[in-house]
Amino acid sequence: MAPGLSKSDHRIAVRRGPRAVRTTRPVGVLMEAAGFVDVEVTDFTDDFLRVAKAWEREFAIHEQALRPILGDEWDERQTDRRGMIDAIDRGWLRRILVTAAAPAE
Amino acid sequence: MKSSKSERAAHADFAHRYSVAHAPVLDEIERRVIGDVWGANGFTTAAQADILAESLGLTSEKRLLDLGTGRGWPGLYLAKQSGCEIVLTDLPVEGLGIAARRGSREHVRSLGAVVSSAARLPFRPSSFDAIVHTDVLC
Repeated sequence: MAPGLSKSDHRIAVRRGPRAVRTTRPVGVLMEAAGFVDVEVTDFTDDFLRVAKAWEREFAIHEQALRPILGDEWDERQTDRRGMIDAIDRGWLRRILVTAAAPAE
Repeated sequence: MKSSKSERAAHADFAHRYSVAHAPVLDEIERRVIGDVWGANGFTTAAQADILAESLGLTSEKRLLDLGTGRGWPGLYLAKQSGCEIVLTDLPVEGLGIAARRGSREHVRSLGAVVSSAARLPFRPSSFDAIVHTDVLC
């Protein structure tokens, strides 16, 4: 979730993002709070948007071949992806790479 | 400790997804989107997996844990590229079974596929040199 969202935008972002994510605090901050050191955060939101659009586009192109395999799940996945793409476009969802080291024992 | 409601829902959703019959069209789509074919259905590309391998300094001397591996992406890929040992964990056994068979075919140094929640791992401290989880928290 992007930082600084209003409560209503955050609620929408939670619904459209990965199901395990609800926190309003940045992951890097949470990792530091848990004791990890050398925390580095790299933003991959541009790639996130590109890949989300690519999944949606490829599933649309191959709909005829996929429908017999996936059935109604084809619609569910496409609906989820379109909601996610919209949320990324609006700046509500981000994707980051976080690397960190465990503290020395 | 009991599973949370969202954990149970994710488990059911992904177990169903991993039980979908394999089809060449899905491989073709994955190759176009992710850049390789390992049963991935998230947002981590092969190029990003390569960045992970470099960031973690993976070598044949290292032991890697992949949390929430699904069908083995990117853990199996990282193990194959670097020669490291790999342990795969996730909740849906359906995905882990596919990952274990793929790992065997690829001759990766897989030490096992373990059904486990990331919140309750059955490993001793310091069992691993590196841990990855991708598309779990996104």
